[in-house]
Amino acid sequence: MALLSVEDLVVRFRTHEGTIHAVNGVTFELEEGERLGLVGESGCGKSVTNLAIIRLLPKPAGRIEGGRVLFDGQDLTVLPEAEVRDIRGSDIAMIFQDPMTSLNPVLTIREQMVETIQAHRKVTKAEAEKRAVELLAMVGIPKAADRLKDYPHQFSGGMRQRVMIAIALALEPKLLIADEPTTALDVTIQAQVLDLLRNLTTEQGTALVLITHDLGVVAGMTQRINVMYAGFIVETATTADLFAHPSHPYTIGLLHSVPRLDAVEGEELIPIEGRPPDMRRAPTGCPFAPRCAWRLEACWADNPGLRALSGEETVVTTGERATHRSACHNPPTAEEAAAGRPLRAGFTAAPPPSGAIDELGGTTANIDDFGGLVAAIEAEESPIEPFPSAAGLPLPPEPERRNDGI
Amino acid sequence: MAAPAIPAGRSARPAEARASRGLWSDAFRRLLRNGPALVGLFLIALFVLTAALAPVIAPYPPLAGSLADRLQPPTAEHWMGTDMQGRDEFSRVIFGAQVSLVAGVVSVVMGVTIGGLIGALAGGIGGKVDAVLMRVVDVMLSIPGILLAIGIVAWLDRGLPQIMFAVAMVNVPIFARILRGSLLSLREADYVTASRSVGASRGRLLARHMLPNSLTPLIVAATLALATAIIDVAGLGFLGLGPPDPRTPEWGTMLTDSTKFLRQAPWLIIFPGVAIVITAIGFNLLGDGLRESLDPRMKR
Amino acid sequence: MTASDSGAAPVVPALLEVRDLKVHFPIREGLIFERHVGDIRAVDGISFSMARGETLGLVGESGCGKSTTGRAIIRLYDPTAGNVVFDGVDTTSLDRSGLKAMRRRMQMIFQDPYASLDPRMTAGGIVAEPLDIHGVGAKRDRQDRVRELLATVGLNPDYAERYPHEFSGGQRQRIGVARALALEPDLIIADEPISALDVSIQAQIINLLERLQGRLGLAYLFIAHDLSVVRHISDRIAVMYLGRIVEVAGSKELNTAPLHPYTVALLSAIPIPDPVVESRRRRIILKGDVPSPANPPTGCRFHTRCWLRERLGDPEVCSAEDPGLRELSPGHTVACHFAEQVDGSAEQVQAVGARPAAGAAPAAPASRPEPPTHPQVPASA
Repeated sequence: MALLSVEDLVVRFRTHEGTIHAVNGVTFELEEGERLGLVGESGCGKSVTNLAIIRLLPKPAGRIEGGRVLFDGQDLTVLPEAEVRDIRGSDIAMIFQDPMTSLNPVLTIREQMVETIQAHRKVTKAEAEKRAVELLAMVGIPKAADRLKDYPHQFSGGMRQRVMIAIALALEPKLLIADEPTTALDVTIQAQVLDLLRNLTTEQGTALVLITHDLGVVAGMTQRINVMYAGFIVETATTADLFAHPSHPYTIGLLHSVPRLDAVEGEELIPIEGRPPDMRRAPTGCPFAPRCAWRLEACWADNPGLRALSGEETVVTTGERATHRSACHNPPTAEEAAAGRPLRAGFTAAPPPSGAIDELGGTTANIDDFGGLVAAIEAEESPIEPFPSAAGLPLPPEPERRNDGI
Repeated sequence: MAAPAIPAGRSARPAEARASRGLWSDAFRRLLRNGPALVGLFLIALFVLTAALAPVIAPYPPLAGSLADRLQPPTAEHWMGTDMQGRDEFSRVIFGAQVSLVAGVVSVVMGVTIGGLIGALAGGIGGKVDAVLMRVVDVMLSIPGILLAIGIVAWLDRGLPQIMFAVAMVNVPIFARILRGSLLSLREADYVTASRSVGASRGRLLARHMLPNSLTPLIVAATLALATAIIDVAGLGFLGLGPPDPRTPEWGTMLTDSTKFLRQAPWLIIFPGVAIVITAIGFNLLGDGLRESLDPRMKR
Repeated sequence: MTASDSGAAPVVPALLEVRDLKVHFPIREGLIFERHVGDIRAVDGISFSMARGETLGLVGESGCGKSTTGRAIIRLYDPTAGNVVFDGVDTTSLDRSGLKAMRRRMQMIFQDPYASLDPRMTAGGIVAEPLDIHGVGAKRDRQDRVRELLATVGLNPDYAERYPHEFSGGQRQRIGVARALALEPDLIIADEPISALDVSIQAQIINLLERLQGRLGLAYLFIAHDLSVVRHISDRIAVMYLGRIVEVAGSKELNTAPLHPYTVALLSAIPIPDPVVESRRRRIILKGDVPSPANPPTGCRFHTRCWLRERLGDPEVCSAEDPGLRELSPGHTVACHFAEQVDGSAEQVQAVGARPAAGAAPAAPASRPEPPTHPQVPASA
């Protein structure tokens, strides 16, 4: 049995501005010790999924409106609040983006750590304190014993996140959920924290759900990835599979829209056109259709579920042999995935069904906004001219930025 | 606004049926969806209509009565009874709304103007000007409001204009602080920096960007201040510092005059008191509603 | 056209020349009598120059002084010392009207598209503001110009009357770009222009900036913390650490042959979205945090965290002597006493992850193959 099993989870927020369809039927499983990445942009539902799992949705607006979350066989969505609280912190631990808001500024690190440990374990204060020092040393805080009496603001951002990790791992949880744990940190500090997170979870056999918008971060940290868009999982695969054979147009778009450090000189970026989805609309059709270059007519009306790429019937949901699944009516080919755009002769993305035109807030405005105008501007534009380089200043001889191999 | 309508452009596109929604109209829409604020709006409308239509609504003249009818309990003829001089209490409460409305609005407008000016100078110029002005404001704030008002009325002599000025002065430091505070926080706002980097002058920054964006907290504060202003005016009246003509139907003065007859005629306390409370609650509800609907944190 | 003698002596003056720029912020203490107790040395003596139409990337981690540098160039901060020479004119000696005239030719794009647009102005009003301030054109013409600018950045000109909150983050940033373009500047200082945007939107803005540069001959000072983005857009890159520039090189060279230990560490820390490459790379984990700019280390500012210094057995010179920028190869300058030791080191090779050259390695066949086989790649979608 899987450690964590999320079944058809639906989360909505009722606000003055209307209903936010945050999570629209998400299903995935996680084995003990497995490291899973939840990848997507802001508003894709990845953080809300996390908050729903640990029952910390903001009240009263956010509600689980469907599905189950089984942790160790118990359905967390129906468990009494007291029991959920017991599980949080001891069996499931969390790390958030901003450690400053998750640490209490008026309590010392000692007080916070001892409190956490004593809340869940029957130990004396001295024992708890000893454990706290061990933990701080484990996460690489120099002079751990001395720093116990410090307040959170006396630590730097990276150090605070280390303290958070120490607190999170204090009770040797079975599952650690890290929500953008390094987004607020500088890149060299991010490297420190990710390194630590990977080593500790491996050592302790802790399962990890890593939530991030950064494909680079999950590439080196996780074994399996769920790509989320507009509250749906649109592609799921092992990390190796996903990067080797990205299959959903959104995943492909993401990969092509960030410059890679090891990119070939002049490799061009292919942006995903349009804008993020308006979550106030009840989803109809494929959520990515308005921005998709591969869309068919069917995509506007029918939301494709996750399907195995190879078409096989039995689906493996966890582990190294997890089936690569994607939710797409018109999966791009391997060549198209590599190129980042459709290559089929004469193929154009299906126009929206008539009558669906609306302005700014809507789905089809995207096309009008960027597709049309940008294309028009591009067409009128002359090829990029070489820079008129002022003499004496070393400019790399780079007449054209093109993709001519190496 | 810098872009005064491009009507030609708008009609060019049939698909663009929906007009642009300004911040204010957005806020107004939110306000209309806010229950308590609507109640407040209703109470204020009641108050304003009463004041405006007092001569029409009031069944009797507010100043004339016959001693034969004095201290009657509420009856079908006199809905709120009569006071010690036999005047119809209902009519007096209605005319009292006029006094309260005028006194409240004038004193708050005066307070916002003076306080806003001080705040704008302090927050806009900064440096020594700011330091000096804010010390003055601190001194004013350190004196309890009602005490300050009593002092001013005592000094300037009794009279409705003096009362309004006194109540205004109580609010001046509060408004000055609010405006200065929001101006200071806006000084570092990115869009102000952006405008500065283009070469905008200090006056332009203040007039175009900083002041318009610091108005919302001032508007909210002014609405809430209307409630306290009305209470303050009544309070001064209650302390015997009301309008010099003792016959003026002012709610606070009416309360004072009635205390002697508390046992015999409790309605004389109840009705003006209820009038004060209802009006104050109205402005408070509306102020809170405005705060919620104007708060930029409510939106992205 | 430009003189082709790309040697040492500049014939045409650089568009921008920054000489020994320092920006210090005083730290004051005391309630009534403020005492000057020290300085935050945000920028502490940096020099560089930029050519017309060039993109110079300025990278570094938070607190390294890169944003302060940009703001001092456009004179949002007054430099504590040093000169900023723009098109032959020393801006530090300009009076108010001179400064205003100079600002017409230098514009800025900000990081946060939500904070950098006045919520009470329409998109059109925001874009028109620079024109208003500088009195460019008649009022009627300005409206046309605004519509043209909005179209240039890929927005529907009919949206000119809408307010910022009606636009998405990416669209707002386009408005910011349009505002920066309004006065047809020569130099745009882009301060983290994409880091607040969603990943899928970032490429839209990068491509827009690149297209505009090709069309308008703009020079960009592109300030960012993300080396992979900076590398993509820049011709040359300057790396900053604790108020100093530690390395300047051509974009390609900096990424393939970094010579400063900090640059190497920075490169190695950037995750690459490719598990195959990631599994081969080894990160250099820098110890500790960046020291405070109020009290920077003596000698080389990086010596407290330097992996190379540790390797070399803590040579005295690192903590004793401040290494100046040395030119190790044409156009490649480094501030490190032992830069020669970096070249060819395992760390340098590992840092970039070295995607196997032209099918050399067996592991990554489908990781992200280039599409040279398809001639239809170029820009027409």
